[in-house]
Order: sequence, then structure tokens, then C-alpha cells
Amino acid sequence: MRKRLLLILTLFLAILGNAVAQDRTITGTVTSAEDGSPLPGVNILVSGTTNVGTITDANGRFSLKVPEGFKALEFSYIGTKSQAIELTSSNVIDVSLEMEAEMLSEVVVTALGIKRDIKAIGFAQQELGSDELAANRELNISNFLTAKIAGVQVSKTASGLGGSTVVNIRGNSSLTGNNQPLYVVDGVPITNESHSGDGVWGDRDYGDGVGDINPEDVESMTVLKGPNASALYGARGSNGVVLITTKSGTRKKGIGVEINSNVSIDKLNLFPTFQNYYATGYEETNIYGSLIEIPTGSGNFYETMDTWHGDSWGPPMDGNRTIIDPFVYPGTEPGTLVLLPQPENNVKEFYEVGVTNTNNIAISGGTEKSTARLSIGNTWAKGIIPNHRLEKQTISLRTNTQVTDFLSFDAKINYIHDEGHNRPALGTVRDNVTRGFATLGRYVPLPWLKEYYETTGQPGNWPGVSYNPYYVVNELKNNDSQDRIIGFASANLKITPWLSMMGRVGTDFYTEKREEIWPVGAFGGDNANGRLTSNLNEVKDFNADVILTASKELSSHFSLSGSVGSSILRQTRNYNSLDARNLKAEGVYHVSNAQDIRPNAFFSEKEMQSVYFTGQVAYNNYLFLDVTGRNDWSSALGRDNYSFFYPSVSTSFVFTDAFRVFPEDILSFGKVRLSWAQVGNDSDPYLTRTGYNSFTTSFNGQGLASVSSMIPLFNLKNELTESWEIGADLRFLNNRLGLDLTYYNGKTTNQILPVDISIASGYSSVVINAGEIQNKGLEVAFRATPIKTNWGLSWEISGNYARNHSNVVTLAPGIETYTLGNDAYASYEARPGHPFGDIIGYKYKRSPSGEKIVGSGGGYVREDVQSVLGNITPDWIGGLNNTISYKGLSFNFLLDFVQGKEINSGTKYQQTAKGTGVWTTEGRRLQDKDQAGNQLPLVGILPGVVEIVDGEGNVTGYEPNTKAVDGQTYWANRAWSDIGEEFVLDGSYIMLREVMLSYSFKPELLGKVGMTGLTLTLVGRNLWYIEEHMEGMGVSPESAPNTSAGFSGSEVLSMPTTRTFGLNVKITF
Amino acid sequence: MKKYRTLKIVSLLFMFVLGMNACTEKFEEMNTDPSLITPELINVNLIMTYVQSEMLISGSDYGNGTTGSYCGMTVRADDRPFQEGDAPGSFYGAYGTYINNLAEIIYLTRDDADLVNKKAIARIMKVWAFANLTDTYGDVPYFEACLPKEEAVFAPKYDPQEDIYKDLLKELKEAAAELDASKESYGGADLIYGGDVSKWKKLANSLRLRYALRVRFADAALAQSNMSDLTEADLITSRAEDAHLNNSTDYPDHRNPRYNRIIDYGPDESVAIGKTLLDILINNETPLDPRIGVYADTASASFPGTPGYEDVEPFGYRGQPLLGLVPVENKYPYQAKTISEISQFWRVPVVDLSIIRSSEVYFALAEARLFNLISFGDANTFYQKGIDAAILWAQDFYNLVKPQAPALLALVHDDWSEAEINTYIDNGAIAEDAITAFKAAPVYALTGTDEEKFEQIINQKLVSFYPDEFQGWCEYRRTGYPRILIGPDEDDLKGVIPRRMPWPTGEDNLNSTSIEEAKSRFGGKDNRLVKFWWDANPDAPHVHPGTVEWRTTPWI
Repeated sequence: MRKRLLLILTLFLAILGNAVAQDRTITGTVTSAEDGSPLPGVNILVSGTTNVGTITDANGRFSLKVPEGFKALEFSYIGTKSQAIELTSSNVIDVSLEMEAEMLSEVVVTALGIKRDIKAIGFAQQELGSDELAANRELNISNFLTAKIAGVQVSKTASGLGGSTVVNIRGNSSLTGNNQPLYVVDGVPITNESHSGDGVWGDRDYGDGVGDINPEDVESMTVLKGPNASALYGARGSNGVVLITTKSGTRKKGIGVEINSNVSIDKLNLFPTFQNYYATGYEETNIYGSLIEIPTGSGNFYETMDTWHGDSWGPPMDGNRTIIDPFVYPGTEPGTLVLLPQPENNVKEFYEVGVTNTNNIAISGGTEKSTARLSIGNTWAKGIIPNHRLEKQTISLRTNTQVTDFLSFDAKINYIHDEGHNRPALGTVRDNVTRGFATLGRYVPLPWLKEYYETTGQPGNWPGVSYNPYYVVNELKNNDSQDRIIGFASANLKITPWLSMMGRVGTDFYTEKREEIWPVGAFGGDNANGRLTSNLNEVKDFNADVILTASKELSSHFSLSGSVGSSILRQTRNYNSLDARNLKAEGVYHVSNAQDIRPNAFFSEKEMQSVYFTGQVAYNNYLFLDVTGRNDWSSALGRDNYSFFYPSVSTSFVFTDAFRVFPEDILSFGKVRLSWAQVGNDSDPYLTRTGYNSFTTSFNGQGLASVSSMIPLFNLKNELTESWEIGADLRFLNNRLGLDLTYYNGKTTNQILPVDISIASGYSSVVINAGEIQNKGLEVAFRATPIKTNWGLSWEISGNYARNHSNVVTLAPGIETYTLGNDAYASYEARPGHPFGDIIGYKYKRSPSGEKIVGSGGGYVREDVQSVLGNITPDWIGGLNNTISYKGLSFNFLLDFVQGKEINSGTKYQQTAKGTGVWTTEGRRLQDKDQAGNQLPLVGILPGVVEIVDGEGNVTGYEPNTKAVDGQTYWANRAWSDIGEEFVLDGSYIMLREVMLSYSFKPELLGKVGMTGLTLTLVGRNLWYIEEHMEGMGVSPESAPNTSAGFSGSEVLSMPTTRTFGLNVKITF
Repeated sequence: MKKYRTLKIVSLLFMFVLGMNACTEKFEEMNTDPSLITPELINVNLIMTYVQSEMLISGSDYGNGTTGSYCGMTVRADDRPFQEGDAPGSFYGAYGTYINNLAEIIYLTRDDADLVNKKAIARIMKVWAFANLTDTYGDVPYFEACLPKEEAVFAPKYDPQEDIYKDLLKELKEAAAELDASKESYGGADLIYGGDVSKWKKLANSLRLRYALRVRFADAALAQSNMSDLTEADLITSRAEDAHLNNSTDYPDHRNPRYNRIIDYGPDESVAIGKTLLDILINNETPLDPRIGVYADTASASFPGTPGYEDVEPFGYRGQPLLGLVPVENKYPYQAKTISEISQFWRVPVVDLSIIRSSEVYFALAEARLFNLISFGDANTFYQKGIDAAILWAQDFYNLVKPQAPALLALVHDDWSEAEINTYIDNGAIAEDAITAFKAAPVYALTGTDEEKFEQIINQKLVSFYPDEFQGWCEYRRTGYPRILIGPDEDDLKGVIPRRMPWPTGEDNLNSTSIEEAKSRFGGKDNRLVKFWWDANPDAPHVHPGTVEWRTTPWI
């Protein structure tokens, strides 16, 4: 990592040197002694001169003319031990440079893209360099952060291939749902609109904005965790910032070519489990059909199973029950069917193996004055649900030109084209095939459904089948495409040696088109006559900055630097949609072919103007003081409150530089830091005015309008997050052991939120500007190198642990709770005095001694009022990464820990209500009749007590329950009564997130075939839950339906999770 | 020199960008949603049409709800009528869709004398909405509910039903007096009367009659004082004056939800006709009510020669008694095919929905006269006019649905021939000779004691209400009629028909102080068996003398 980081600095130094005419040309390659990889940018100087030298190219090669009389070359590279080599008769010198044991001048990227020495940083930030990013073929770069950064929790939504990712830094501080960090690419913020809304009742996940960034273009990622680090990004950075630096060309001769190719497959990992003993029906015996005589006049009557039956509480599939076969084509003579179970794994076979293929080629080159890099990438992927496909093409061009000594230009343009086809529907809608499978009758032959669809082209309708899945994935189509341009152009002007100015314009524009179609005959009243929806979403973000930077050494002890800047951000969102129904000609999916067309349009606009400054004083290069301040004007706030200011102060003290107490081989480096910061946050637009909403529909030609249900806040003020943190960065044993500790304590006040109020007020919500949420916690990042040998074997461990304690201190006066989200039988709420994200629902009613109370019907009953069933915020999260390498071979595995949170399982609810869950066999009998045909008694007696009631209805005592009930009373009643306690599970897990094996060929082997590097990597991801508590349901604890903070403890008929296995080939020329 | 020029450029650039920060003038316009209609631009007609379509069409559950069980009209196969728990839908709809918008119209028109009709019509509608609300829950927020934004009370207090009712009756009286035929009205935006002010006046009076009668057992004086100023001419007395609205086929949401259900989920066999309503229509076969074919199907199952079922007679018209949670070891005596479903006529896309009809007005007058709350007319005449109006309405209804029936029946019974479809449709026709025969039967005349006459009136009122199950439930609670046959039940309520609905549990979180205060007036309870203020008839409910039959062999 540090090689790459230092490369840039080295390059700058190197170009200052000039070569002069010499007599002898020496060539060679410089490699790293550690892993044999070529070292680009190594300084080579002819000993005894100050200006005769060169640098190595991207492949570590150099060529240098040495003047007569000089006898040695000095090789130096930051982070390695310098080496002097005596010239011999040979004109070829290959050098292997050893890394310096301890390296104290790491350079990191901080806010506004300013590169700074890590020892000057007074707040916590953590970086992933190209080493960590290499060979990890996640499509979405935010997944790179998984388990690798202390205090950062990364989880995917449960929507399969191409879905959104949730990144949460240091807990949730904002109640309004958006707790995602700001992504800044090469200094320009990009939009990251994700699947933040539904996923509970329907909808599809179209991925998120950061997922568009081509992983191959990423040089490094830096996470600025708290407000302390991100004050300069202002409002949008209040949840933390992820800085992404993309690759640029290098200033060297010739061109470099890098080719990356990756194939990976996704295989089902966890999948819902099913009982396989009971058929569709009720009360363990009843089918409620009518009788049909077969053959007519024979006196043999068989029951029909009617299509409205959806629950699997019917008779045992013991072969003793024969019904009229429902699986026949219309008009066929009735036949019979013996109720028998289908193969255990029948549903699993519906799913396919997902495949992702990514290819990327990058060409880079440069001269002493300019660099350029062009990267072209292509991704093709198919999901595990048939016909679900994604395609992505990216083109990125980055150039940097030093126009004159004092002026340089830097510009990038990144074009992204994304396409998605047949993304799966989510949540409780019938179009979600996973939902259909969760409740599918176990007697239903899936091959018949397939055959019926293929023969008739229709979905068909059968008891126990909510929607023919083959029809759904083949006929209900959706397509989306997106064209996006992210770019910037900047000019850097060096006015004096100590004063420079940068002007930059950045844009992020995209247009996204989404279409869905339902053929004539699709289920659902809106869809039955054919329907298409067509949405066009236009997103524009425009950023402009001017920054003036000064840097001056005042004396040998003091140096001073500072910047003043001004910026403007303009955001527009323009959404247009058409919902077209009742098609005139079947099969023509165009708006012009519809009889009922409903348009919808939404436009929003926001502008933020800012000025800011940052200043730093350094004393003796070991004591640093930073001060920042920013003033924003946001159009989304109230008229008198557009403007808001917030400052920050941070200090860093490298005490090992100031005074050495311990020898370097014990304590190699020590730094303490302390900081305090505020960040203001504005709001979504349109919360300050209200009026009436009109409808595009009408009633018999009469227009319709309704009063808006929100009470706006005319004087809306900004939110304010205030945080302080203290930390230490300690390295021991010649840097073999590193420890970074941070304690932070922050609070967000003046939350801007539309809170729910009693509907009897006439309004459903009021915008308030109040409340306080606290987040405090401890973060530990450590790394160690237990083994490091001279012969190339090394073992590195890096890990992190973060404990965050959140507390909703207050909401607005008179507001008792704030609902973050709802699903069918529970809500996710913020309640004063509680941690963020309580799961609220009904508990079992229990006797004073804690036993569950059984009602007179024989089923459990719930408490009268709702209470807290759990909390969605984990107690702690962590990651542990191990890398063992030997020469070019490297093996790596990563563990991901999330502990102490609850999850509310919608799959458990559905399968309990419908009797398909594997657990619903408990309390049911395997035969309902004995051999003589006599009815057998029910066997399900719920453990618990019944109330003893006196004549006046008072409970006088309890006695054990002895009543035997049928399966639906035993099980489904818990769902029907919304006893949420039953469905809230421990969401803790430990996952083997990633295992990677890679081999880099030695450059000398590759030279013959013209390559400079070849690396093969095998990677497995999301492999194994070492620990989980989902009760064997086959549902992942990481199954949030969307990216909103409140839903991180929800699971709603989620897509099955997959394991990924991939092979990656990286070739450089 | 060069450096100075550079500095100058830099400074200019810098000032330019900083200069952008000076302009926040556009911010207010920028932060106004362009889709929003501002108060200066709103036309209240749009709001009135919205409220009417929502209240009559989208807000109606068309007799598919649990409430149908509470007055003997219908029984839903998959229902648990005796389960405790809230029914928040009516609460949210009333405040969040109807009353808030009506209050807004009243607020917007408050100071404009020319718009007095628009205001008065909104007041009448608002009374109807609030009455439905308090008749469901009892005490509800009233005086602090739905105030203008600036005065909104986030957690409004719950008012006693008695206070609410007194104000509702006063509102109706004032609104009727305010209506002025010489001033502007809603015109076509009024879906019910096309803006006809005189009809609105009759509606206000007829509602006042309904709600005055409702409080009869709680406050006889209040009831009487609100009827004594009315004459037959002040009231809705003809089909043309009925306050009703038909579905529209312009959008799926405006169609009959029973029809939408078929479109969404296929043929529906889950709504049986209640034994109570069907027994009234069967009329002990002396003779059958001529409307029976419009209301009910015959049971579809028959068991010819099936072993173990030889004793089963053809079912014909067989209503479903009200069964709660029955132990499974007891076999159901009834199941889908062995009972009468509601007629398919109720499942066509366009049916007729009412606020109040002349039949109800006449039944109300009959009762009022019978118990001397009014001093004009004759109870028996009113009763017969009520039946006449109800039959007339049923004929109208049949004529409305008849042209829609073939398509619907083809959808539901894809195996039926055209002849079978036509036979079905013809069975629903209300023949004139059947009407004549019915009018000759004893049921057409009030006989017996006052209490027996009272039962006759309410039974016929129930028939006329269909499918307005909510008014049926109100009458059941108020009068104790009709007598509903209830089977054994092991559910929460043990077979006792609810008297009200508990407040939405959401209010516990958002308005807990008010809820606690309201609960204290109900003896600290908030359940379905609490009786609120007007539910004060000491004789109610009247028990059905029959028993539910049981089978030892299950239906298969």
C-alpha cells in the first residue's frame, strides 16, 4: 500500500531531476525484497552527483546514462532502505530493495483531497489502499469496506444481484432514514440514491449510486468517520465521508496496460426450509371442497380442492387422501390425485447459478508534463432468479497536464451505462417469487406449473399457489437503464511558492429509465388487462469550488498552512412516470396502446452555498493544531434560517518524536489526538410550505384534490451534530504491532423530521426541529505481523472492533415516539431513553410466573399493549483479516462479526401463518385417521397455562394447559394474533466473509511473453455463517429490505443469499 | 508583472464564486413544491368531489366486512367475528381523508357569504363522517380535531359522545337553515345531488331524523326535540331524493371492490348471506320476499346418493348463522357449498351506494310515530311506504346490475352456458305478481304489540339497508333487533356481538394522555364490549330462539 502512496510524492521529486549527457548506459529492474514485485518510481542517482539520475517505470525498469568517472548508483525509495550499488563491467543491474522496518511518514488523503502526513491528523480515519482492493471482485465498491474498517458496518440489502449496500458509520445519528455516508470521488461528491424506500410491501432494488463506480478505477478508499473528520464537507458529510481516489496515469515513458478479467458464480447459500408432511387445507382434516363422482354413476366421490385455499394446515400427506386432481388443463375430464409430498428440494431447483463476468482494460501513460489513463470496463451478470440480468459498461478518462510551472489542469470524465433486466420484486407482493415459495403448498408439483405455463402461456390458478413462478419470471418483465456522467475539471495555480489556488467544477448527471410490463391475464386488478409503467428519473448534481491554499514555514519550529474556500452545490431531481393500463392490443407494450394512462411527476431543487476555511499550525513537526469553519446557506431551510455556521478543532501530538521514553524497538511510534467538531445538516426540500395535492385521476370527469397531510415548519432550522473524540495511534516492536484506539462521543440535536401525530388532529405528520440523539463508542483497530521471515514467509493480522452506544435522549415535546418504519406486525421506532431502533410489537401474555397464557381456544394470546421486542442496533461489530504470504503466493481470509442485535423475520411470520415452515410440524399428527378409518385425536398441546376465572371475570389463578388443538391454532394463531415476540430473533452472526488465494508470477518468467505482471486470484465470498441464530429457517440475518436505518432489523421474505466463487486474472504489460 | 496579473485573475475568480453566495432570494421559490396547489389557487369543488368519492366509494367496504356479521347480513368464511382488537381503518379514513378535507372547505369558505352553500354542504357531510366515527368508537376527538394548520392540536382530547351528538344535531339544523337556493353551489362537482340545494336540505333533515332516533334510548327529550320540527315534506321521501352514488368504471379504485376482488384473486366464495337476513327474506314462505333473488343464491352443493349423506335434503336457500371460533372436534354444520352466498349481482362493477334512502326515512318515521316521538302520520302507513320504497329501490338496483351481469357471470362461472347465465339473471327479477302477493302477506302490515311491531320495522329496515352493514349494526345495538342466531364460540368475546370498536392502538403511542382520559370514562376499559352513551336500550339485544344444528359427519 505505502508503495503506491509514496509513488506520487516520489514522482514529483523525480521530475525535478534532469538527466545530462553521459557515456555509459546502465539498465535494470528494481524489485521489492518483500514479494519480488517491481517497484515503480524508485529514485536512482549517480553517486557523487546531485542531479544525474532517473526513476523506474511502472514495471520497475530503468535506463540511465552514467557519465564517465562515476562508479556507483544510489537507489532510494520512500519506505525502503536506500542502497548504493557499485558499478561493475555489466551494464545490467537488478536491485532488490528492502522495506524499512519502520515507516513514519505515511501520507493519507483527508477532507478536500488534501494529502497529509498521518501524524498530523487529529481525528480517526482509516484507509484501504490498492492492496486491499486488489482482486476483490465485488461489483459494488462499498462492499470493499465490509469488516475492514473499525466502526463501519456494511450490509447488502436482501435483493440479490445488483442490489444496494448499506454503509453505516458509527451508528445512526439521524432519524430521517438517511444515515449513509457521503461518497466523494476525486474531490467531487457524487449522488448515492439507493433503495431506501420500500422492499417491504413490494418494489425492486435498482442498486445505488456508488455501485456505478468501476472497482478497477479505484486507487484507494478512505473513510472519514466522524464529524470531526468531515466538517469540511458540511451537511452532506455529517454521517461520515468515504473518499475515493481513482487511478491516474503515471509520468513515465511508454504506456502501461492492465487487463483484469474475472468470472464468478453465485450459488444458493441459505434457503428457506419447509415442512413436507401436510397439504393445503385447514384444521388438519378439512379441504372444504365439493364432491365429484368419478366415474359418473360409480358412487365414488372425491373432494375438490378450491383455488382460494392458501394455507397448509390441511390433511397429512400420508397417501390416504385422494382428491380431484387440480393440476389439469381446463376442459379436461376430472381425474384424481393422491396427496403426497413433493421432493424436499423442489423449490431450490427453481433457482439458477448466478454468473458474473467482468473485464477491464486500462491503458495509462505519461510524459514529464502530463499523464493520462483510459479505462474501459464491461460487466455482464445473471442472477439466481431466471432471466434476471445486469450489464454495465464504464469508460473513464483521466488526464493531468502541467501547462506551465505554475498552472496545471486535472480532468476526468467517467461515463457509465447500466442495464438491469427482470430485477426481482421484493416484499409481500405476489410478484415476489420468494414470497410465493415461502407459502407454496407442499403437495404442489412444480414441474406441472412449469408445463402449464409453457403450454398455455398463462399463470393458472391452483390451491396453495399464490402465483405461478414460471409465469412471473418469464412474463412479468422489467427493464431499466441508466446513463451517467461523472466528471470534473480543475485548474491548479501556483501563485507563489507558498500560495496556490484550485478551481474545480464537478458534475454528476444521470438519467434512469425504468419499465415494467404485465401482460393481459396477469394477476392483480390493476394488471389484469395488461399494464406497463414507464419512469424517467433525471438527477443532476453540480458542484463548484474555489480554494486558496497557503503554506509557510514561519521558523525552524513553526509552520503554518491554511485554505479558504467557497463552493456551491445545486441539486435537481426530475421524475416523470406513466402508468398505462388496459391495453388495446395484447402484447404491445407502449403507452399509446393503453386506455387508462396515469402520469406522475415530481420535481425538486435544492441549492447550498458555502464558504469555509481550514488552518493548521505545526510545531516541530510533532505537535499539530487544526481549526476549520464552514458556513452554509441552504435553500431547504426556513427563510430566516438559511445560513448556519459550524467549526472544528483538532490536535495531534506525536509524543515519540517529542521525547523518546522507550526504545524504538519497543514503542516505535506513538501519537495521541483530540478533537471537537460540529456539523450542520439541512433537510430535504419542501418542508417549509404546504397546500393541496391534486390527483391525476378523476371521478366521472370531475377533478379531485386533497389537503396536504403534513404541517410544515415555516422556520425550519438546521440540524447540528456535535462530537468530540480522543484517540491514540501506537506502534510497537519495530512496527510489527499496531494499535489504534478511538473514543468518541457525539450528539445530534435539532433533528428535522416529519413526526407522526394523532390523525385526529387532521394531519398525519408535523415537521419538527427538535430532539437529541447520542452516539458514543469505542473503536479499536489493530494489526500485527506475527511471522516475517527473510525467506519470504509472512503472516499479517489486522482486525477491528467497534462498540457503539446510541441513545435517543429526547424527541419534541409531546411526541412520544418516532416511527422509523413499519412492516406487517411490528414497527421500528426511536423512543426517548432507548437506543436507536426499537422493534415494537406484541409480546406473549404471560402469567406472573412467566409462563405463556393459553386462551380458551387453545392458542396463545398476546399482551394488550405493544412493547419493545428488541433493538436493531448491534452492541458491537468487528472484523478480522489474516494474510499469509510466501513470495508471490498469498492467502487471505476475512471474518465479519455483528453481535447483539435483533431481527424481525417476515419469513418466519409468513411460514408460521401459512403452515409451510419446517417448525410447523410440531404439534401436528402424521396421520389423521387410524387404519380402520377412525378419526384420531389432535395432539398439539401448547406449553403454558390457562387462566382460572371467577364469576365476575377476575383471574384467580392459573392451571396447566391441557387442550389439544390443530396446527393452525397451535401455530398460525401466533401470526394471526400478531404476537411479534415469536418472530423477533437474535440477529447476531459471525461470517466467513472472504477467502482469497492469489499468486503473482515472477516478472522474470513473464518477460519472455511480453508481460510484466500476472496475478491469478481465487476468491470466495459470503461463504459461511460460523454463527447465526435464525433457528434453522434458512434465512440470513443480513436481509434488510432497503437501506433505511430503521429497517436494518427487518427481514421480509428476502431473496435467498448466495455464496460467490470467483477467479480473477490480472495481466500487466 | 505576470504574477500580479495572475493574482488579479485569481482574486476575480474568487470574488465571483464568493459572489454566488450572496444570493438567497430564489431560495423560497426554489423550496416550494411545484406540484402543490397553494391556498390562493385551490377550488373547493375539487376537494368536495374527492371527499364524496372517497366516503361513498373507496371508503365503503360493501358489506364484506366483519360488521356484516354484527347485524345478521353476511358471514365471511375466513372471519373471526368475536376476536378482540381494534379496527383502525375507519378512524384513519375519517380524520385523514374525510373530516380533514371537509373542515378545510368550511375553513376556506368561512368568510364568504356567496359560498354559504358550499360551506353548508361540507358541514352536512362532516356530520355524517363524524356520526359514523362516534357510532364506531364512542368518544372520539371532536372539538379539537381537524383544526386549521396554525391551530392544530397534535394530540387532541377525546370528547364524550353525548357532547358530540348534541353538536352534530345542532350542525345539521344550522346547515339546513344556511342553505340558500339563490347562491352558488357545487354543480357537477357534487356527485350526489349535482349541487341541488333543496335536496341537500332534505338530506340534512333526514340525517337529523336518523341521528335523533339513534339517541332515543339515551336522551328521549333530545330525540323528540329534533323531530318535532320536521314534517314529511322536509324529508327524503322519493327515490329521486335518495342520497346515493353509483360506482364508476373510470378507475379500478372506483369500481365495486367485490368486483375488483374477483379480478385480483378469482371467483369469490367467501361471503355467505347471514341466516338472520335470509330468514327475514324467506318469510316462512308466506310467501317468499320478491327481492330474495337479488340478495341471495341458493346453496350450490347437493349430495345425491353419497354414502353417509343420504339424509341430506337439497339445501335451497340456507343462511349462515354466526359462528365464532369453534373447536375443531365439533364438526361445522355449515360450509361454503352448503349455504347461500350473496347473489353475484352484488359483484358487478357498478352498484349503488347510499348515505340515506327514503325507505330508511319511512321506517324511522314508523318507529317515531309508534312510540309517539312525532305526532303526524300513521305508523303502519309509514311502514308500508318504507317497504314500497325498499322494493322500488331493489328493482332499480336489479335494473342497474342486469346489463352488467352476463360479463360478470361469465367471469365467475367460466363453465356456464349462455342459457345458464340467462336463467340466473332472470331468477333475480322482481316480478310484479310476486310483489302483489308479498303485499298481501301478514309481514306487510304491522301487527301485535308495540314491541312486535318494532321488531317488524327493524327487520324490514335491515333488508332495506343492505349492503350498508354499518347502519345495520347501529340499529342492532340501538334496538336489539334483528335476533341473530349465534353458535358457540371460544374466541375472545365468547359469542357476544361487539358494541363498539377499540380505538386504534396507534393512538396509544401518539395520543396516550387523551386515550387514558377517554378510557377512564369507559371504566378504564377500551374493548369491544364497552357500551357507549347512546347504546342504552335496556332490552337489547333480543335473543334468537333457535339453535345451531351440528353434524357428526363432516362435510367433505
